[in-house]
Amino acid sequence: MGVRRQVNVACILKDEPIEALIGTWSLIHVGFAMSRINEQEAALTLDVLRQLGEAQAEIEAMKASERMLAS
Amino acid sequence: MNYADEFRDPVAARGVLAAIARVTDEIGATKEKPVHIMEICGGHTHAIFRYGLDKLTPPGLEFIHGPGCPVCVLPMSRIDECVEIAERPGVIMTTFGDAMRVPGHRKSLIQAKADGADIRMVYSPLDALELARRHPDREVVFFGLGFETTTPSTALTILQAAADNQTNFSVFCNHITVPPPIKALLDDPHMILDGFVGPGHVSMVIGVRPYDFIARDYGKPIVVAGFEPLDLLQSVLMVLEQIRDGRAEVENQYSRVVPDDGNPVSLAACAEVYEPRPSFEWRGLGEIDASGVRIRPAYAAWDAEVKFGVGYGKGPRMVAEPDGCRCGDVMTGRIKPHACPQFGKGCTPEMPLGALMVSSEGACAAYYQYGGLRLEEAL
Repeated sequence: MGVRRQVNVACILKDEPIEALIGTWSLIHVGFAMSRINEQEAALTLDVLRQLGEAQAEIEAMKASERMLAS
Repeated sequence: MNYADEFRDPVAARGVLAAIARVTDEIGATKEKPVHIMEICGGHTHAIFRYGLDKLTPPGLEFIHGPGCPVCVLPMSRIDECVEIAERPGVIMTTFGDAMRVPGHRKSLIQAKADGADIRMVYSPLDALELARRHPDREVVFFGLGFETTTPSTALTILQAAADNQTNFSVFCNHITVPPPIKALLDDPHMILDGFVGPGHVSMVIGVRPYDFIARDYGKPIVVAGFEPLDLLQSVLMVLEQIRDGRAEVENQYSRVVPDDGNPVSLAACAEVYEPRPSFEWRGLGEIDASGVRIRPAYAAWDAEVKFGVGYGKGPRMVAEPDGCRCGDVMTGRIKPHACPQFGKGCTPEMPLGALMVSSEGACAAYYQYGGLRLEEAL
């Protein structure tokens, strides 16, 4: 699956051997790796989204309960 | 985790959408008096329509589609100049595919190719440089265009060409920058924007600090956003919360890709190769001060404007757009795409009249492709 191609990693390499990139995710644009995905930040963002979903589920449960009690 | 599917989860989307509806309500925005949020980036415009986000969000929230589609804002005169270079004997013109159908005054690149010019589509400027290596007897020109996302790749390719002394390679540079047109839009007395969804991939290069003026000087919120549906929805929610709370800040929703300071290697390559132009012409917006870059004299050997003697200040400027084309009004949020008399009639993705219909990131192409009922109403 997918496409194999050579990319330039100059923009995402810090003071480290190129092997340090193995196993990491990167955003590729027109043949250049432009940013390494920050896994910690991704997890934090997903946490916020998950909490929004849970809060909404709770609000809906409360509303349903109110309707049940009012009927 | 592949950092894409997780951000498309419909269950999580319901939670964010409910919060968006709640905050829109708290602001007091209605269909008649909506809150206006501009997504600056064409990639965001495309995602909004692709996932139907404009239909899922409340009627009190209106998206205004910004100028962040590089193909769409490219003036016709630059296409004319590109065709002029491409038609020189011995030239191989290379370009990203989406620039092929942009109309020029005389012809588009695809028409020039049909007429015999050697024009080839490439995925990367590095492929254009490779072509130059394989054809030492030809002049290979790369049609460099795009915002800060793409600008570094062209700079790094020029640096590579310079290191290899590959002198039959040059770049016709049309790279442009995001902050100046945003300032121009904010200075427009007719502008009605309440906040911005900021461009994610531009920001991974330049960081978030170049947007400080939007919050500080104009009192408008901006949230730098990713490109998955949940990214966009969460960013819209963050903008709405700022409006509700009377805050104006630069926030970063796309922190998994965008470091606050951007990418230092990319920025250094750009600073080495380019200098700001005094001004650059934007289709629909006119000339905007310091909104584009040109290649520094130190790299003139790889500057197609110098090599072929075309470009700014070299010939008469023609700024007129085709008759009946209202791309400029669409781009400044004055009208919706289907309000243009040419939409879907004289102007379609197959035969575009205006640039907004050309690229998949253009607002008109997005309306045409995903417009659904609205499209039927319009035609």
